[in-house]
Amino acid sequence: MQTDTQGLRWLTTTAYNAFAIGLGILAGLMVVVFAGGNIGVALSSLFLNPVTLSGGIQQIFVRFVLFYTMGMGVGLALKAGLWNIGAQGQLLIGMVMVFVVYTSLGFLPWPALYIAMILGAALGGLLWISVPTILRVKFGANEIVVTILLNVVAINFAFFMLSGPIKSTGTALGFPHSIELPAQFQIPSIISGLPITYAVPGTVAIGIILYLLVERTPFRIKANTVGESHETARYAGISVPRVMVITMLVAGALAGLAGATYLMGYRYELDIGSFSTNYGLVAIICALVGRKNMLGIGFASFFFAYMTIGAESMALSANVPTYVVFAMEGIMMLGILLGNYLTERKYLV
Amino acid sequence: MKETKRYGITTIVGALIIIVIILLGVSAYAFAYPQTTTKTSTVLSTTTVGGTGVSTVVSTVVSTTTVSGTVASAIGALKIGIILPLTPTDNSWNYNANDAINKLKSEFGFTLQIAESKASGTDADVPAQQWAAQGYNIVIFQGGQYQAEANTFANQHPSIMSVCVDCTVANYSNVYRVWLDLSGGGFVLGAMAGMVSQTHKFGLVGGGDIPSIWEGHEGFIAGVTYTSPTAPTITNTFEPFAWADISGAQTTATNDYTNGADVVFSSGDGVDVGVLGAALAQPATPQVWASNVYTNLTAILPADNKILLGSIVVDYYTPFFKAMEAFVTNDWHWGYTKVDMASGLIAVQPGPMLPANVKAAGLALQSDIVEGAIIISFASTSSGAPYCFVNSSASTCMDKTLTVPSGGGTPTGDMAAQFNYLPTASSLP
Amino acid sequence: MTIALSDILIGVLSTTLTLSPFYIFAGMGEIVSEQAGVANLGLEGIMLMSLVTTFIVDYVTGNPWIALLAALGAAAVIGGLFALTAIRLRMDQIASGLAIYLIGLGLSFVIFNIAYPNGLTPNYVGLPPIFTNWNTVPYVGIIFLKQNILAYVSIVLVVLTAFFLSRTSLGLRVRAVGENPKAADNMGVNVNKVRFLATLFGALMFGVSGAYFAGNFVPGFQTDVIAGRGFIVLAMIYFANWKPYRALFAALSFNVVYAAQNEYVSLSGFGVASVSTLFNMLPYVFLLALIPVFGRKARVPKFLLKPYRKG
Repeated sequence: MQTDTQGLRWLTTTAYNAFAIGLGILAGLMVVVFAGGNIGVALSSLFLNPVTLSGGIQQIFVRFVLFYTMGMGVGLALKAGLWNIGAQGQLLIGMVMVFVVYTSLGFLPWPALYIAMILGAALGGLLWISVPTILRVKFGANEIVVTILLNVVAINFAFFMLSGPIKSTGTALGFPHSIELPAQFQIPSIISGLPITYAVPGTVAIGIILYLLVERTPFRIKANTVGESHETARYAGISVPRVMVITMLVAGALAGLAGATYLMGYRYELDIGSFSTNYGLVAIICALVGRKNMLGIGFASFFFAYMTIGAESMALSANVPTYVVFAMEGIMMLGILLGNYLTERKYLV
Repeated sequence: MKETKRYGITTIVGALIIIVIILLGVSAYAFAYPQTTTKTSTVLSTTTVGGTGVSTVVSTVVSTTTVSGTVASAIGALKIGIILPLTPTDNSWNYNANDAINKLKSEFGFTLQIAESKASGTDADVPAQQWAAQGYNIVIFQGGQYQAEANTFANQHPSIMSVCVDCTVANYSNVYRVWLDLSGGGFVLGAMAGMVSQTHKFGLVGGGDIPSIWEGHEGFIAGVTYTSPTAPTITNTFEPFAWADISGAQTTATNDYTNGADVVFSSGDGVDVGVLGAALAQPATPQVWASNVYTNLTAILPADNKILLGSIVVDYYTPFFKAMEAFVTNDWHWGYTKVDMASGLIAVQPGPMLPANVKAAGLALQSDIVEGAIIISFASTSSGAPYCFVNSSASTCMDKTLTVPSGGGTPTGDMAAQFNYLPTASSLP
Repeated sequence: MTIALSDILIGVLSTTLTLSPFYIFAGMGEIVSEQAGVANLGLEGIMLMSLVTTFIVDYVTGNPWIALLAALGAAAVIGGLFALTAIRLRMDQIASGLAIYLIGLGLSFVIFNIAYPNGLTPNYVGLPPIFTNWNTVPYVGIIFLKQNILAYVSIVLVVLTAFFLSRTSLGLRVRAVGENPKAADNMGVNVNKVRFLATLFGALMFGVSGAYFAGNFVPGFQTDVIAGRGFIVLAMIYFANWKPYRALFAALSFNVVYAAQNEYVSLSGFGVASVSTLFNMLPYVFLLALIPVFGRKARVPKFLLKPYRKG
């Protein structure tokens, strides 16, 4: 009986999610119509282009890694009731740290420097989230507000670093950007020629490890209890500050790590194109869609990676601004929340 | 067991339907109401300059009637993509490029796709690769920030022409450079500003430390110093990546006006929008002025005339056409168009509200530049490179010690605009 | 540079008074909304929609006042959607707020693009100043008389909001609903209705903010033109402990710091030296520094973010 309801509940959630996604896609298509685009072209771009066009598959996996890594962090913090809206800032700091380590620890031999760059990025994200964490744990300052402020500060800080300490000379020509990472500091493909880098299995491995460490241990209950009510957690003997600190710091480290993989596995250089993205928000969406489960977030991330690339391609083909993708994401998010809510109502008694 | 009140599916679906209808309604409304009619004249107005007795028509429109049939139909068969750093709503750099390419499209009928808001080369790569996979022939990278990407892309796709606007480096033969030089335009505007200003205080708001912007600024400063009867006070504001920051530009320009400046020079993109907005918000007296770059503001937004010092009008129509023509006639390797005053592709359109003598002076100087009597160049650094921002040890190119003696003469300063000759200021109309 | 210090101070004060009302309107709206227990993270989406509406309606009608009304209407619609999700459907307020933000961000730009397909957009300068010849009055003119009526409405609004929340019965009901909805319900207060009204008020204030942004901040639209300022308001009211006068102080001082660093960077000619970006950070660091100034533990409305189910 129990498993029957569980299975049915999962099915219902999926059905609602599918409806939500369909609604988002419908909104996008409506915009295409009003802009005078061709629906057929739009649909084929949305669904087929990510796999048919060259570079599409590479981008799907790059975004999958990005959303999954950040999303795991957001999801973990969410379990404990903490919102990491600062994932975007931590991502940027992570990317900046890659170059800081590269320039300052350049004397290290290759394998050590490579690892140091990745660790440095994670450390940067961790340090960046430590400020809101401390303020929250020690002073009760709401982490949402502090992380949002720090996002803006992170952008300015990254601008500063990009215009100065890590700026590349040569063809900079007034559009500051960093140097391009030489080949031995990039993340190589698993098989040369295939668009999948080692970042993909690496991220999946992290996902599995976190799944085992979090979902399959008492930590999950601890975190959930803290998320529900601090009173209950304290009564149960759980150290609330410790759970909060662990989840937040891991979240920050993951976001910083995402910066490293994004930079070393795809972009190879830091420029202002990375500053105006909304990947932090999409990571939150993935965490919610994946219901804060370390493996579920993976599936959600893959889906959203495919969807965002398809939607951008659709916008391009239909001569519609790519901002329509934001609206689609928002509508999908609302729909998914609605679906979650409806499922809870039906099956939560 | 509590009877949970079922607002149920109907309410929610109803709400969703209402949302959908609202979306439909808003879009339909926005879509249906009368659009601004697109200007049928070209971006660049035909300016007749005189003053030394020679009248030169600065540019003409290129249309299908002046192009051979085979070339025209070959261009019509092309697939062209253009990448813009912002959106065409800036009435400046992006608007100009968008307008030019759309005019060409309506003339020749090729397939066109526009990718907007690509902040950097890596972002531009995505649509560029998509176009390459779809067999596009020409990809236009509208901005110096795409220089590295334009070259990389050209290397990956040797059969595609990679047009790079405001780029200075081409490493492959299929990179077609459109090289911008705004110094002449800046100089003419500066000269007019120096004559028309009452307070002798000037502001410049820049979008970023890149060659075209920098040259425009230095040209303006040189012009102001050239004609201003007393030593001018100049505030030159540059912030990194400022070309997208409209609100920052508006605040800076408002500050400049508050501090007593009555002319503000703006160097393009979002900065233009902000500066013009700041000027329009000033009261009618005392008169303040602002300039813009790339578009002929008098023609497209006459409501701004009351504060318009002048526009540096840049013709992208011709360079784009030349690139396409070169492509179809297979003469496009190491192709290059220099867009500056001497080539006739840049002209200054003085604001209609300027006093007649100021307008005449500006046009006289302009004709001198067009005819090659005045040549503007920039000094070499000690290492011999022509521009200091290529020199890695120079951190900034803003020259605060620039002096151009009133009435003409040799300017002094690190990277001052240099003139081979300048007529004495008193000889101007 | 022969620019007098008095000119600089006047410039800073004038800029501060021009920019602050945006934050003040939004701040008052969010304070009322959060006191009732609803945090609206979608405020920037609402602002963007009302901003777009202002531009388009002004272009069509030529009348900035009608544009303001239309902006309020747009804000009410989007705000109503948020209220539906957060109050009636009891979805997670933060998640639905962020979703509204994304929708507003995308939809506003799409609408703008459809309305101005070739990109040509007239410059919009906003509502007229209080006194058209403001520059004839020395000092006072450029600081005070240059602003439009909304700037002064915002100051009055602060007073009214403070009075409303602390002295009026409806205001007390609003606060009760945020502090202890169960008790309020037992006293006969319709909790969700009060929350709905508070959220709607908040949304309307965001609409005014968005309309104010048009002309006073930017004369035209670009991608992501509000650039996170709406989210900064969340921080401001939080550090002001949901007290209207403190929020006013936070908004004014934030903008003083912004105007001062802007002017300083401009006059000192840093050029594109990277140091100017460090100065850009100052206003935000300043806000963070307000935490110890205004007291460590913020008195959060107890039922903020918690949906209320009757019975």
